[in-house]
Amino acid sequence: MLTIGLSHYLALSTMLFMIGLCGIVFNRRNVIVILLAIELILLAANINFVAFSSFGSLIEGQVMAMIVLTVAAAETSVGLAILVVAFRQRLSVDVSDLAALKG
Amino acid sequence: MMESVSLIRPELFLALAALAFLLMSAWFQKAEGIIYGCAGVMVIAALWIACADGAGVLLNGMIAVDDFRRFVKVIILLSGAAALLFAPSFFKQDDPVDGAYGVLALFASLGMLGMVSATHLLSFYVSFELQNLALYILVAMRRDNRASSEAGVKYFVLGALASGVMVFGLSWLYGFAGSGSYAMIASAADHAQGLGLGVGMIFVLAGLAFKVSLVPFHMWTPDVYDGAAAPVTGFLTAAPKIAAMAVLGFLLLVPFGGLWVFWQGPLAALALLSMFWGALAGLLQTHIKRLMAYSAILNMGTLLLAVLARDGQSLLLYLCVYVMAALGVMGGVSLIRIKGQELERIEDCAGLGRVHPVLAGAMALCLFSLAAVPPMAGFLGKFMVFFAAVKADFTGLAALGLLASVLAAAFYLRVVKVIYFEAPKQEAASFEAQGLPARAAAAAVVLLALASSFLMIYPGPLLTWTASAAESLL
Repeated sequence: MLTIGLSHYLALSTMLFMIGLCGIVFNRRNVIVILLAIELILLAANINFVAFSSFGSLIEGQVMAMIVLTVAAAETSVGLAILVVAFRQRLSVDVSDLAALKG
Repeated sequence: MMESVSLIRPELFLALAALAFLLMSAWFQKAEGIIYGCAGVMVIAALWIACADGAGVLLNGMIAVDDFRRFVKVIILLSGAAALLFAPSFFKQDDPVDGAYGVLALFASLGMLGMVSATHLLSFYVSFELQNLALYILVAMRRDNRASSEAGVKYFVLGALASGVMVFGLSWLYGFAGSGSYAMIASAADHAQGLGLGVGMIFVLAGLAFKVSLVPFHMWTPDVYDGAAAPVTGFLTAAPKIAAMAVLGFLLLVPFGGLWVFWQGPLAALALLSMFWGALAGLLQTHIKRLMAYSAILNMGTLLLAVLARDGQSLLLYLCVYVMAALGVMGGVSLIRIKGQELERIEDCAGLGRVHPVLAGAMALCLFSLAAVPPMAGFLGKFMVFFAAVKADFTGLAALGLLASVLAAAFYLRVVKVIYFEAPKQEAASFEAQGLPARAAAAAVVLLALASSFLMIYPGPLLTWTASAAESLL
């Protein structure tokens, strides 16, 4: 019978991290999807924190996971506010519309 | 307990002042007054920190106070205050300024102070994000400006990605050290040359490299510098760079000191790439703010040599000198107007030397300092860094760094040439010297230029101060 150990959690979190990273790098359409992908990356870190905390009997990691969740919420709200500003000028949240600055 | 909290009184004062100004900016329409008030608060906190002494760890091992941190905090606050002085005169002409500009700068500085003071991953992460969130809003603050909102979205997306990567690294560090405190990480790194710690550290290094815009994590820098309002760009060139670079140096030398086999190679590669990409791409720029972005990339790359050489003194000295000169240039940029529009292209500076000799002279002095021309402070900074690198047996890196900074001198001197020797076109540069805000900003630019030249002639106090600050680092 398979017991689920620390390494399984680490593998899961690494996969989530990679999915989030790919979501940002290969996404050429929508900025909202990028926000989702960033959230995935933060959740991957949270799985790590909680897994390490539970397997090492250290309470610190669970506190950190709560704080990361809180900060992620604040980050998303700031990001959405900036997106609203950008949307009002372009009437889209398309990544390709954000290419005026280059050089 | 009361004894130890007294060590962070200046920070508490800053936090309370930020909240008070936030309320005031909701009630009073005097945005300029609020911005000057915030600058004043920063200067008071800086002087308070500079005059204090004593060291210790407080808040249950979350935050520490020592000479190194104190020095970094003082230059963060002073550079933030200087960048705030440029704002009222800039915003007066384009769009009405919001008092929130000053409040956000205060919150960002508070985050930077926390980042520098942290002795635990948790306090480090929270203050890092406090700083980031305030900076995203600052960049996107001109709501009617397309470039500004585009820069805001780009900065937010890439910044959030970088901090996500960093927090993933923090989780590995926490797991393999068994605790988030720097002391535990340091002892874990010394005893077991763990791969897990190394992986975590590389992720954290990537997150911080983004913040200080080292190649290949620099893509956001030119766009964000270009899209943000000139005073905001001034703020970005100074305070966040000081904080992130000091933290990068501190983390690598102290908690990750035992992991140097993992970071030495990547750091040398980052340094070389940043120095050469900064110098070469800088030569091609036509916009002054993009030029300053590549200048930042180049200078941050050079600073990595001081970290590699484990020389805290040259790290702090170079940071000081670079920030003074870069702020001086950005102050000039935010004062100059072309037919009422803000200055964008380098060629629009033509004839500035005749129209505004004082401002042009100050900007030229700052550019000379950035180019490390000998009688200027920039030369002292570069000399100290390269000398430290040679002493630590990084002769090859130092030689390549020297080559890159010679290349870079070309693009700084090109701006000086345009200012003094090119004929002005019909739309000559002008800057509204009328009004107190513009005068205050111009005075700040002149002061920064004078400091940039004075420091080379009389470097004694800064040398002793940086030396004693660096002593508490290692």
